[in-house]
Amino acid sequence: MSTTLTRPGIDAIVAPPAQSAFEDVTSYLDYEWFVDAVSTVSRLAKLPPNWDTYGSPSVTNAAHRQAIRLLTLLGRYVPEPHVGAVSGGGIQFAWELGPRVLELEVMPDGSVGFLRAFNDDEFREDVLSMERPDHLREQVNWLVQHPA
Amino acid sequence: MAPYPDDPAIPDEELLRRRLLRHANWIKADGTLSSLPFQDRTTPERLVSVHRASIWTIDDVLKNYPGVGVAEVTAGDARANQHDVAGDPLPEDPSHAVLVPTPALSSNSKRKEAAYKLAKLARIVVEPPVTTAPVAVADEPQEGT
Repeated sequence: MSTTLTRPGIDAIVAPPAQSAFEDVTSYLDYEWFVDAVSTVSRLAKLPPNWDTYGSPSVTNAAHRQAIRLLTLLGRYVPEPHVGAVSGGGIQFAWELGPRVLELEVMPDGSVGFLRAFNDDEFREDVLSMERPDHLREQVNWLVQHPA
Repeated sequence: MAPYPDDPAIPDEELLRRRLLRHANWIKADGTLSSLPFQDRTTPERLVSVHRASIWTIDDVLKNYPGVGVAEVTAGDARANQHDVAGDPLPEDPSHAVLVPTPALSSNSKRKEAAYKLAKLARIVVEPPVTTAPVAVADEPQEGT
């Protein structure tokens, strides 16, 4: 059975598709959440040392920059993420669409890890290669291209 | 020998508490817990500090930290999710313990999964107050390891 695509995916990260490719889909582009998310990332980046009461350093500049980069790459293709600070100096984005959960964790050194959870009992976790746009695309398409 | 071996004196049924930060968005919009409270990259070992309920009350955990909440899991929950539970009493906090990823998590390919599952098992016992203001951190030694 073929899967009905209900979201545009993020092919544009590598090669922007023709405009017609988006005619029948709903774009998640929503400047209100995008601006809010960028603002949240910037606010989290200003948390002082020991913000978690357990000795965490502040969010690093590398994590801050990578988080903004991710938002810019993904903003058009995903719904509003939950954005939070990770003890140790990172930032995490999380989406929950029906049975699918995707977490993208920006590490203090700017590297990115992901966790996919399906129905809370199937998991996949790995480091995301930011030099391989197809790797990022694969994770986001998994999240958004399947009906809940 | 591991620097933080599992402590069998901490029974599976003992509650382990951790402070919750709303200003860092550890609580999701629907009021449930994100996986963030059980992730910590402050140390290379990624130890997560907790407080043993047999030694400190909830009020003790909250003392000096206005603006935070508290979540709790059992030691058994942590062990069932590939964490050792090691006592690590500090001068300012005799209840301090750490969740130590077991070798099963050393590949770094299951740690987020473990944190996710722990968060699902955790119970919020004190809601952090709704505020975006930075928490007033007490002028005390830090508890991190």
